Amino acid sequence: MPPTLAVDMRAIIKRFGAAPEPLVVANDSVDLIVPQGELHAVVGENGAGKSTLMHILAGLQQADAGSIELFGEQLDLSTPASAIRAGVGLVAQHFALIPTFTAWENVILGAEPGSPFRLDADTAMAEVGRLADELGVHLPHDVPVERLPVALQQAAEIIKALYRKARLIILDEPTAALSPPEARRLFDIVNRLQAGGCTIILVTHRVQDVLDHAASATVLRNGRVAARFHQNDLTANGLVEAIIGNGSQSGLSDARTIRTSKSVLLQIRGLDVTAETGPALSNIELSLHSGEVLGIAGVAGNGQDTLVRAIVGDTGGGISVTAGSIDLNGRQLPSGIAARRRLGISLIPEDRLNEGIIASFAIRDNLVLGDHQRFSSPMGIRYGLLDADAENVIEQFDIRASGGLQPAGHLSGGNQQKVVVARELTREPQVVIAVQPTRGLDIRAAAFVRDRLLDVARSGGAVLLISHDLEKLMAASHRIAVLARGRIAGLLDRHAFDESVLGQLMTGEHP
Amino acid sequence: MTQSQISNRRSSIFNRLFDLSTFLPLLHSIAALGIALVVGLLIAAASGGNPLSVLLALAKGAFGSPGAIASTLVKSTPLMLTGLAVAIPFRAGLFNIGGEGQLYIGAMAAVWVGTASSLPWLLHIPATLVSGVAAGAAWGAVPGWLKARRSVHEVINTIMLNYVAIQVTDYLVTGPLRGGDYAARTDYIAATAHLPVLWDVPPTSVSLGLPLALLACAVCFGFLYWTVPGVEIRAVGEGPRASELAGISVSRSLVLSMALSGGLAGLAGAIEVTGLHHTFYAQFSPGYGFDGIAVALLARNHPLGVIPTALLFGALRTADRWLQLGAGVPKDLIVIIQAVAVIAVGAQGAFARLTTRRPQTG
Repeated sequence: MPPTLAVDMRAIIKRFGAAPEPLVVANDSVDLIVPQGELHAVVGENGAGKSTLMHILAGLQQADAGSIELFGEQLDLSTPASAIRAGVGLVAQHFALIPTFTAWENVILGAEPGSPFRLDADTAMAEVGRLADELGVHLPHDVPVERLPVALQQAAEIIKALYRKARLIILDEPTAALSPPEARRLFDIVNRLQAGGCTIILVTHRVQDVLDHAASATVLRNGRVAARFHQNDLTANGLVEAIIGNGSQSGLSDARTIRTSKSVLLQIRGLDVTAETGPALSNIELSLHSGEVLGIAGVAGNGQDTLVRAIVGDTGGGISVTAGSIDLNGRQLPSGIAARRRLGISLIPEDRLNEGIIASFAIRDNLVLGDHQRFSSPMGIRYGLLDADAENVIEQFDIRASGGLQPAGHLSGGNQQKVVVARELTREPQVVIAVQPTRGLDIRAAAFVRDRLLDVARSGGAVLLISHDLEKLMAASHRIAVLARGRIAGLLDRHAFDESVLGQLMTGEHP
Repeated sequence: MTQSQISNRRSSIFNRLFDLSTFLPLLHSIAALGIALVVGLLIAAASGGNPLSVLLALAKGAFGSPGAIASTLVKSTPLMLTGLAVAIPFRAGLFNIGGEGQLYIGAMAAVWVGTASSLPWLLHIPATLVSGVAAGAAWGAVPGWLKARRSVHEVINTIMLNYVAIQVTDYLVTGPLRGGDYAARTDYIAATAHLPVLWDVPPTSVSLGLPLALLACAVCFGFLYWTVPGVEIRAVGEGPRASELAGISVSRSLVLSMALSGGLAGLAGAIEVTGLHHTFYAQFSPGYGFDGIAVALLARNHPLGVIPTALLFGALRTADRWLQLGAGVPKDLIVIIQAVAVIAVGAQGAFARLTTRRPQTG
């Protein structure tokens, strides 16, 4: 007798749009088979159809055709409530928590113990506490979730699923917002879930997570199943090939191919910064050479944001430089963001939607944001020139859009990021500060963005690359400085890169 | 450029012009007006009036005679400018409630220049108008500056400055600047400061103020879309943080939008003085500054949209007397119609959220 299946989805078809709009087939006859108790990975690029398939499984969307069996029972998952009753728990990438409620309040919301007129808070807290203990996490009773770290918010989401007796837990891109130590703790939790009998579906585009943790995997490409893997045939190359298709893998260049020169572009000396909002910086010493990619590693919230703001000159709102200097080409940087941008400092900010683009503005206007002056004439802004320029840039940076007049907010995340990268790099910058520039991008878009950043170094500029992803940093950087509690905890040359050394520096345990 | 590229380009412009979404805000506003009118007529019917005669009274009151038409135009003129005074800061993300005060300050400056000197009209008229604009701009810039530098909320400051402006001008017309007779007003301005009359329909007259207000709408439209400071104002309103990091001075945009707004409301006051009253009566404005908020909201803060909505509100204001006489319905019905229209526009934000399709993710 074959082992019981947790999920048996057959020939799922889901189309979006109606005539005359072009029809998008998000899922084209997709099968998904997950044995009970396994950790199964669903892998693919942005837009491959992963989220649609998971939404169908969680009852958020309905398939146009196909059958779904959960734990051996044929089910009609027409509403989220019916999926929850069937034992499906979805932990979405963007959490569905009420920010001002505490963790336990969020967990019980919609399934409160007690009578309709009285909430049995003691029972609720005890039950949530018991589930948290089982997973080895501690959730404070009295702190609103908005003040909890992302990793704990995620734990609250998982407990929310368990509280509703979920037997199948879907984790959608769970490590995207986590630091390496947090991600390790997440997989501890996942192991405990499996020990408790849960089946896990891990939706991700991180190949390493799949290799490390999954027992089997389904790869989606363009809405179809591109490949299925079992543990013994899971390899990095096989996965990547299945994800992006045969023969389309671009030549992944890395920092090794670029020679750095001795001339210093950006020199930071004895920099002390006080900050009301984030951690302060003390005694930062860094130099960026022409042709160099300098990585900044660190757990989120150890002063990266303050460092970026100090360099780009965004020193309002509680940030002030109290000592030290930042020189570009041997001359002290003037104050003010605009003045520094004119000298060739570019920024690819972390929060693409709020800090990178203006969603309601056309792509063409986002591409020259802050720079419309270039097209100004006594007769007003010359949109003819601006449009022609934008068309070129859109083509050069492979931005998939219907045209320059399309609002940037209508683009996919990867293409929005390309708009930001295009704007910041077409200024011919000397120094580019890139904060998590490939986060949330699929393999192809991430490789594209990384290649463009390396182009900056290749043509004599320098890149300060800030990321929580050590793998990406080690692939792209010449040197890596570790930022911990607002200080430079260490600086490694390329030949000395080592994940465990970096990890220890990040957490402050000196090797 | 190849032929196909050219035709591509044409078709994209064509698509854009005839894309429904371009006109959706306009349709929303028209729908809001329809709702307001229906609600107004229902209330009229409930209070014993005949909806048909209400409609007739409105039409007759606003457009039924040359005098009515002139009065509609005269009342629309300040509304266009105070509407702009709300629309422009709104595009920068600021809510200017201070149009009324800015209008009074502009009118006071204009009357001061209009009475205090005797110049040839070619100089005197521009001097009075410019001083009205300048005073209003300075008055409006204050809350803008406080917002930009000290993060003081502009709504509170503009409301407070309304009281200050009204009380100060009250004091001036009852005290130091009081004119010859018993009314609380200043002296009449010199004839050289009168705006030329374009259409004389006693007891009212349409002055050069109307074309000036129309011109202001067109100029503001050009400013917002075809100049760098205008684009930056919109950028700051739509994405303050992205604008700041892209090197746009957020404070400058905030102060500029508020100064412009004050200048426009100040011009409204100056036109009231030089084109209509030729003096400054205490509290002469029937709330043009506040009606400007409704005008701008119904126009979706578009400088050209302000023109029809100001004409509409001007027409309603003119017709209100006829409601009582012609249809036996209290003239407050006008205020109800205005209020429902504004609520309906506001409710469309929620409505749009319901009807917008959820983005599809892979």
